[in-house]
Amino acid sequence: MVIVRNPPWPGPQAERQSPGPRVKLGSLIPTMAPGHPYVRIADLTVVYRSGAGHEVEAVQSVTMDLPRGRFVALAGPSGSGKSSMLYVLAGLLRPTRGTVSVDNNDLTSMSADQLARYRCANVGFIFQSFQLLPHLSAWENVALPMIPLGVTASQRRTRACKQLSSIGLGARITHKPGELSAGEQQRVAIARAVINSPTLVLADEPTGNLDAANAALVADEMERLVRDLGATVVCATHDERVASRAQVVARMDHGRLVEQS
Amino acid sequence: MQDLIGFSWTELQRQWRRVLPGVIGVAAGVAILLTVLAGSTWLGAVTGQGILSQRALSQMTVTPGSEPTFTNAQVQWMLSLPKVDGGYPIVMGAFPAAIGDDGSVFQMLNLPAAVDRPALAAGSWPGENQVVLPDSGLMSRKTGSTIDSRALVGTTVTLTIPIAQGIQGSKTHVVTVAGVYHVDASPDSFGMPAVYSTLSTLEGILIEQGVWAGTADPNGSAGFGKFVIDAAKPADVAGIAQQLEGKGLRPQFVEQSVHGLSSRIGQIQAAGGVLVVLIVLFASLSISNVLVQAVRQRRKEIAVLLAVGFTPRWIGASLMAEAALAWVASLVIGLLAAEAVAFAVFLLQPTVGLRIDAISVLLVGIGALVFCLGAAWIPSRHAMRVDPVEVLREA
Repeated sequence: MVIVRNPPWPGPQAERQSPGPRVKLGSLIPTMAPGHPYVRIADLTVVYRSGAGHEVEAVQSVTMDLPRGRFVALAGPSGSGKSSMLYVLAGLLRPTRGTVSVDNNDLTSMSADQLARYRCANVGFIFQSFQLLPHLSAWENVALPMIPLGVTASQRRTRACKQLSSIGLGARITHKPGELSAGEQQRVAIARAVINSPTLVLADEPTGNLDAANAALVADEMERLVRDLGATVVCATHDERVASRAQVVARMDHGRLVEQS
Repeated sequence: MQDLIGFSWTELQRQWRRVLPGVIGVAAGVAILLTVLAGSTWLGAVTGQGILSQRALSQMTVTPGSEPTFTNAQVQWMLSLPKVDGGYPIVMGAFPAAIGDDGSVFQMLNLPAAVDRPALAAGSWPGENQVVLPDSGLMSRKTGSTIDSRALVGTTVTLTIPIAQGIQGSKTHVVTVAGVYHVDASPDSFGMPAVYSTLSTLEGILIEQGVWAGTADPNGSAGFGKFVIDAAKPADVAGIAQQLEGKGLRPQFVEQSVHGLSSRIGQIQAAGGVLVVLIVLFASLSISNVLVQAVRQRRKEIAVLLAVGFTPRWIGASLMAEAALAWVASLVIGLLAAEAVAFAVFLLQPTVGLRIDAISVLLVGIGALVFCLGAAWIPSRHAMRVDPVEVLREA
């Protein structure tokens, strides 16, 4: 299967940086026709098994389609299964049942290495707690996802610095995460998530550790990703201010999809 | 690959304090192995490849224990031992025969026992490659005229020594005449009959004595106190040495001041083996433990790497690369240490020539690499199995 990215997304081409060689995943899948859902989730069920043998059904038989190039909010209280949905979409978590396809690529049939390549080339992940590597500088953190793509070291540095400068962190490129504010750290994390120009950006409570001002900046940035890069942004949040800015809102509760608007 | 090595190198630098004991352990193992390989014949036999096929180790020097000289019977017995190819006396002290540049044979003398060692008349007692001649009785082989040995002090002469009983060839050495000693034929001079008969020619000696080394008496002195035995193969040395020790003689490696060769070899083997096993075990546990701890501590980092698109295989390979880099550092340090030991041995005993050869370095290096990668194997499997979701949820 080969993941073939759709034709250039809306937005200025000049802003799209080449992420380096694309990763072939296998057989060729035809590009989806316009109007087809970008993400298809069918009967998705995720069951966690604890060491004591207890089972928790985090996601229960969720079926939904997500359009391309939209800002999608997965809203719901803690424990409603939002994060599990994101992990499945990122190919980090295999569903217990059901299928998930992104751009017509069935994630459930991919191997671990194929999923890793899929993530690298197509997915950007933004975490609530930033998940920056503390011993690396800001630009080194941003450059990390380019390593598996085989981008040269000098190009990695150039692109990472450019990315950081574009979000107002040009003076912070050599700073370690510990030397940055929470808002700056999250912006570095966003820069890392989009450095390979992903078509799918997944954000797990990205504003959870931020004050209102920084949360608004992050929301602005996600809107920009949709507008300028044509990415599909799926943001798990229980912050209604963020959810209200989304173009699509899917509400979850106790692992079930209870509303989609 | 460059990125993989660069990434692993950064990680190693970050954790050098933890990695250091493992690196030192492997380096110590490498150094000891290289030193043992360079210094022992038994490892050569073990490998079967003759890593240590240093010809000098097929020889040993033998001294007669408490006595200053061998008896003729002892020499004959030594030469009759199985797996002994031949032998010759060490060129020190007094010698069976000395032939001058003009072909003159100066002396075939019996080295006197300590109690009747003749007083030195001129010069000094001989050292290595030196000879002391009797002060009278020397006769030119060519002219038959008497030679004043005092006039030869300080000059070089060619010494010819029969290498086995009878006429079976000889070894020649260029030696310096260090002095002369007084030959007193009267029975009163040392309270015993004269033991030094001045002989005219080498041929005369061999014909007259009938046996090697100056006298037909099996219990008579063979004329020297140090003898070199040529073993057929290096592997035979220990067995021969054991027989010599059984007879009260003292075998030693050629030019090495080690007594009790066979038992020492066993002790060295045992001690070296135990030491290497302990060090390798320590280093193995250390490296493995460091990497296991590293994987535990770096679970979050590994999870993030997996989340941003690194493959599990890449993560595993980076840990293997860390082990390989640790191996490079260990090999360099170990090699330097072994060379330092070899140099120290050289300073103490310049003639030993302990040499760290390329084949040993290659074999030990490959062994150390296998060992380092082996130690990293399980941790790298653990790293590849890190569940990013579980770790990221914890965070």
